[in-house]
Amino acid sequence: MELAFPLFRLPENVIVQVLQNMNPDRLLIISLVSTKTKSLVTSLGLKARNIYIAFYHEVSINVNIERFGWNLMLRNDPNDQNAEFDITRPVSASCLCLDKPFQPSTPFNFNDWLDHILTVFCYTKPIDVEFEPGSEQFEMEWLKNTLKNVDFATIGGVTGIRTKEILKNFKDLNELFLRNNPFEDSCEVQKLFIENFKAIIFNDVYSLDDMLLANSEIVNFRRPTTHKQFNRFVKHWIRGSNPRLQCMSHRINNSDSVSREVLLKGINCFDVAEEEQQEICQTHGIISDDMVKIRRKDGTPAVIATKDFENILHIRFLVFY
Amino acid sequence: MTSPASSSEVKYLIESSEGNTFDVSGAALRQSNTFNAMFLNIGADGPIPFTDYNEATLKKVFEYCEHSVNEENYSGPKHQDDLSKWDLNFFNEMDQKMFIDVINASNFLDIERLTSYCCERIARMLRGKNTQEMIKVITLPTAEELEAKQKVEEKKAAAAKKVAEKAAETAEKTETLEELPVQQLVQTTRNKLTRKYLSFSNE
Repeated sequence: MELAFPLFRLPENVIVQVLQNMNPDRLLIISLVSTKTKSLVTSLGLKARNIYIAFYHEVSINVNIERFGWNLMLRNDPNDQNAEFDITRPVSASCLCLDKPFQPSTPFNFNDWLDHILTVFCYTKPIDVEFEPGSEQFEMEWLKNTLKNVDFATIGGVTGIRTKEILKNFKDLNELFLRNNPFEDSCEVQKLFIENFKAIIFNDVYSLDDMLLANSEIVNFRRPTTHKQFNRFVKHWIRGSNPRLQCMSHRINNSDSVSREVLLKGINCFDVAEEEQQEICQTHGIISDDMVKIRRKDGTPAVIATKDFENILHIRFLVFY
Repeated sequence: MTSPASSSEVKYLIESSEGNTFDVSGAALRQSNTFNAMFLNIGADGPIPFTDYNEATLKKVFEYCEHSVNEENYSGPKHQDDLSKWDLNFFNEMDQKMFIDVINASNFLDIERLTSYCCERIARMLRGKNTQEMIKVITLPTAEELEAKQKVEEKKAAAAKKVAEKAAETAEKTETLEELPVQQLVQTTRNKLTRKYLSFSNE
């Protein structure tokens, strides 16, 4: 068959059926052809589950639709990966499904791209963002106006000053992932633990004080702790610390050296029945080898679920209010 | 229409835009939801007018239907890679004009399997192309072309109306059923056809 194909001479229901045979990444490309294709792709009603934008020396947009997800790299000059990103200039995109960059017939700047993606994939929820080294080139005021409502932010490899600036400008943030501690003074990061984010993920060294100051409902400490530090934390919790905590994740290296007796030394606990364990694992999407129940002084129950995997003991501390 | 005991042997006459007629088996024709909606239960006296499509196109479409009579029931789009050698040959031997005519006819006749394979084939054609290349491939229509397309669609709607009128006319001839509701009309026709087939088997 010839290379050219007069798609738009076909009845609209056939065009729609052709589009339904295309993956969302290809639909994005065809939606850039004309206002007609944009409206046809939008009419398919594909709803993005999540949109994640990472800022560094360039910008990447990750779009997830149902089980399909893909990454779009945006650059002013597709051939120069290190050029400074100019938000006002035309931007072209590239993705894995295509071995060459693409852009709409009328050039888009970053804001146009974002508007287009949000419209075509019917996305109205807050956007998740990531700030990495190189993201300092993006002016905070512009970021705030462009991204508007941000729910989840990942911050990694940027200065403490920039971190504070981000947090000051995105006040509605619900979830924060700190890839590293950006502050020299340990008190500074504790100010973030005290904030009432719904969830905080911290990927750096932390102390017992940090654990006790965590005021979020969900806390995930990615770096390993010691069995002693965890044991002391549990004792503090029993006495009433971390009143908002619902779920805390920890890991302990060299799990061979950590027995259940050592981990729970001095803590009054009892085994959870097999059936209840399965139910808890299912509800919280976890895998556990061993689960014990404890109670704090006011009667609030919690379980400590552990899973030994590749000589790392993964601990999930779940509170049931 | 002939009416032997086995429904697969029932032949229907199809009339093309040239006024030519040719016959198609009932089993093949039943893959068309348009036919099912209009003629299956009430039968047709004389040729069925699909006069918006030429003989070559209709023959090509029904060639596909005849071939897929014995295939399992259609259960959604099939990947081109999973198509049989026969299917691939069927598509590959068409030039673009015929391919477009076949899609249009298949879409009008509402033959799910064929329309779906055609659409998947077009989607495949657009793979690996960036926006500029897609613009070249899908050749955006001019205002005149859009107008012409609208006229064609109006013409098709008129043709569909004509086919529906023909079906209604046939129904009237079959029995005086004008005042019966649709469900009852279908049931009565079914009963009548069953009686007919039973009388054949008794013979």
